[in-house]
Amino acid sequence: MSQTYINKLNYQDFVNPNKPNYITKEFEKLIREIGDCKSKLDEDRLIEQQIIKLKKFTKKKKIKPKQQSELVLRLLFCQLLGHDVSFAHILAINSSQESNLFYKFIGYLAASIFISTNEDLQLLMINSIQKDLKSDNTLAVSIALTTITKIITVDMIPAVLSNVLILLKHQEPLIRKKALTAMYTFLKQSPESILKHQKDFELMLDDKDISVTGVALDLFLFISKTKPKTIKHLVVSFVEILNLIISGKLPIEYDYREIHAPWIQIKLLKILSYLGQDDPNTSREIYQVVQLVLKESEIGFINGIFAGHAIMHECIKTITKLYPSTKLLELASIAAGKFVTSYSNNLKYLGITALTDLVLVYPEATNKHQIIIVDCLEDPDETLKRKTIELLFRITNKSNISFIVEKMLSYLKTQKDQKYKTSLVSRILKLAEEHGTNIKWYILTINKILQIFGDLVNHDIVYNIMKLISEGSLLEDEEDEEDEDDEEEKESGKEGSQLTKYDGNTALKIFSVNIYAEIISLKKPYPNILYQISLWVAGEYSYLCTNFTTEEIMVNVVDLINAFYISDETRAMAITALTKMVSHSGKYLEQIDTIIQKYSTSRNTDIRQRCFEMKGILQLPNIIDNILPPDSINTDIEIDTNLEFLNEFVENSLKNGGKKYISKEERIKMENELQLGINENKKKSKELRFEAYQSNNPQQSSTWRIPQQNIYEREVNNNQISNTIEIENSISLKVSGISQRWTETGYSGFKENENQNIENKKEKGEEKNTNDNNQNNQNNNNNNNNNNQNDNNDNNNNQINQNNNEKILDVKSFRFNRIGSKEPILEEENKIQEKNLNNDNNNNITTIKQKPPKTEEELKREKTVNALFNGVGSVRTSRKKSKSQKVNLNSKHITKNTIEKNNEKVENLIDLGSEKN
Amino acid sequence: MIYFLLLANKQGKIRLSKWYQNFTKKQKTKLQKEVVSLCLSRSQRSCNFIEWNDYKIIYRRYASLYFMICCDTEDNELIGLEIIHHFVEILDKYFGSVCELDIIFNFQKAYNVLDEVIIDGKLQDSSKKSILRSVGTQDFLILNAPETGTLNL
Repeated sequence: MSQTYINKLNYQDFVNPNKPNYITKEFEKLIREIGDCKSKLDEDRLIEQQIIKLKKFTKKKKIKPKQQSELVLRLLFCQLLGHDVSFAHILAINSSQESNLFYKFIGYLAASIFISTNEDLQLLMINSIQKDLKSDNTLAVSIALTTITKIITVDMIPAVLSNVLILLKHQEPLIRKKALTAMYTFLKQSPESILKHQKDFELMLDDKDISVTGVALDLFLFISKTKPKTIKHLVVSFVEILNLIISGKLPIEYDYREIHAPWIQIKLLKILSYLGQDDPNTSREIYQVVQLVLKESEIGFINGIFAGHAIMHECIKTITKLYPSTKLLELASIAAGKFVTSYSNNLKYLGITALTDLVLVYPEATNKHQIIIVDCLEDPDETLKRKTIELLFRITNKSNISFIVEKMLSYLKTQKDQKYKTSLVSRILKLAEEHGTNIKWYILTINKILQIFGDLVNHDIVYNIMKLISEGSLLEDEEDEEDEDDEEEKESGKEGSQLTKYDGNTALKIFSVNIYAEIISLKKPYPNILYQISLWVAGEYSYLCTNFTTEEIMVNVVDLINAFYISDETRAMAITALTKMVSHSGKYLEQIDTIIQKYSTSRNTDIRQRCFEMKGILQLPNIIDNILPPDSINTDIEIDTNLEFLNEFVENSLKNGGKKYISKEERIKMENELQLGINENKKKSKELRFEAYQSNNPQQSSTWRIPQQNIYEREVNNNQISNTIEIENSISLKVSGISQRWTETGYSGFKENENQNIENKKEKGEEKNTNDNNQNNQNNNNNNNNNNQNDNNDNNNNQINQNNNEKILDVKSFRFNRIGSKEPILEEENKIQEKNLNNDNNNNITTIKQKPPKTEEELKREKTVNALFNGVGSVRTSRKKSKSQKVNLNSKHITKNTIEKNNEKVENLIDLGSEKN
Repeated sequence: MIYFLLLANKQGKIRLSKWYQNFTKKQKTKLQKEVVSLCLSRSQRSCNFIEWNDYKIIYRRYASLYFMICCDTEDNELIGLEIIHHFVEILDKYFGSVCELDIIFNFQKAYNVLDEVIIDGKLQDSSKKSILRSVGTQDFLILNAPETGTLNL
């Protein structure tokens, strides 16, 4: 009664100038002081002082509920300012178990902030949550459900699932909604266990309250992403709901600025897009409604309502995901155009995003808007620019490549983020490779990129360019390497235009050597990578250069070698280039001598090596042309891998008594054979056959066998002296010499013992054994027997047996079961006492509800049994159990009284308004 | 889905933070710093979205306060903005022309309101009326609740 009264009240009734103040004056003072702090240090000091005080206070034995909630509030404040208050998290839990709703709220709020899902404390929370889920008070249920969503873990789901499922049918929409939200949280954590209840929340789609449906859609959105096939049959109802919303049949309070329930519309569109993906049949069912929604959302554009834009944007997204329909795609591209042409940056951004998706399925979409898109690159907004770059990558083709790359480079110059730059450069290079139509343009572009961003480029590009220039278009057919595939296309594209004066290959070389010779002559601190390419090209093709004479190039190179801004690697390449130029042209410069002198003593061995090479080559003017012939990169050098020219030498040495060469493989083979032979010999001499002993009695445990065999071996060794010769000669074991106590089933002396033992087990006798292993088994049996005798209750026996089997494998769930089942135990205990304790309760133990009740005696006994069987590990758990049990007992004590008290209080409060209890 | 919501003033001081996924304390401080500095550095004419790592930040400025939410990249940006606006409108109705001080001194109430608007990273209710009703109900109970005790530290 009290609840319905509250729901009828309007919120304005509560808007009171004298709002309730949770904060005491003392606390307010603290907040003010912290507000006045000038530095973080001051603030920290204040809070630390506060925490020390609070810590002292928490150690008091009796804290009144009032004080407790105040304490929790202050701790919350400290936590918010980034301090550790983990010592008092338990207070929040205690506070959540208070009967007074106000304290309970504070407790839950603090607990949900304090407790992250990794902590054990959440297990303690479960108790009070379970209690509150069953409460008659809507508010208590509501806050419990809210807390569940924050602290639940997979292990805890079974404990509350049944309660939440019941709450799905609660009369209050608020509770249904929160229960569904809790279900959603479960679904995310363990989809399998929740999907069993899919029918339950399918019903929620038809709920009277549309907001409940809205929450239910969250669950379906999740399922549609992961397992779309399982809910294809629901497409019809989703479409129906969407139609219902557009037609404006919802209560007016769900309108958000003239748009009908935009959030729910968006959720539905998302679900439909997942369901219709790659599925022509489902898509066809969806087309019509999407078109309607798109049309309807245009109102937003007229009135400038963001929610309308949002729906429109979602429609475009959906259309791109659905099985393509030309009509819808056209509509979508028109809508995207509206976004792009708008003045707001937000909408522009969304337009670009939409086009980026749309272009993949509908390339014509961007045709009309190219200029606007490129303009976006000049906008000061970074986010917008990055998105635009993304789009440009997708719309680049042969016709617009040069324009787009230019724009991108100018954008790149403004960038500061190194990581982003690097990725962008490599992407631009790739783009140029893919879509470039003109090889000259390609080389120029690469140079431009290298000039500015040479440090960010992968060194593979150097090799690519060298190969491109040297092999040119004439050799394209011979290129087999994958990397060069893209370049082949390019070359074939420009071939026709270049075959005017020279053949294409030479023209390209002349063109490139002119460019690179110029780069060298500029003497600017360009990145090394660019100089390396330039030097190589200049060295190879200097004689083709038309803009510079070879001497000029040589002088420039000499200057470059002396420049401070190039690396040793580049310098070494420059020296080689110089050598090549000298050998090709036959001209010599005096500066070369100084270079050789200067760098022959360089610290870098590579430079030194090359200097000496150059010196050596220059001293042999006769053969200089043979060492470095012009344009030699494409001439294959034949290598005689068989070294036939040495045949004569080998024959001579063989004649003179040398050994014949044996190849490595043959040698390894021979070595292996040798070793195998040795091993086999060893085996033959030492191997023993155990076959006769392997057909042992299966009842025998494995622990039995090991000592037997050891003993056996030892004995055999002792006897070996007499038997060696026989064993070596015959492969099978001769048993005749060995004492007859050894039988096929093992040592007969032990065997008797063992048999006895098995008999003991069967008869449950009390004979004791000397063997260690047996003693353990025996203990087990004895324990079981004792329990059997002492205890008439079958349940308990089952329990223990089960424990015996499972041991501590499932400690966590077990502990948690105990906590979870605390509440029902109280009730069931009484009932069962009334009935009869001796009833057979052989129910399934694993489920919580059906779990047989335990008296305290039983629990104690179980603990001791556990400790006996499982050793230290289980002792620890049993301690934990007892701890949690204590807490439970406390809470039990509270719950009995509080639920009743609580209800009384609330009713009093509400009926009398301002009266205090 | 929303991963976290932050409220900070112009100076970058955090006024409210709510996390819908588990982060360690270290991660939280790091994320806060990054996100806030990112948002504060943007000019007013820029759009309200930032693509950041694998997430998307949607922010909006109201007077001296920045409201920031971090969500999936595939989420609808505009509706994210509307969620912020929705929350602000409710705060405004609840406090009566809300200002930064209201949130500083009544942070618990602000959290309460937020809990009614967003649960588990999802918008809970799009109706202002029903949210204010349930928040109001809580206040009503509190109005009649016993006062909190002083600790006399």
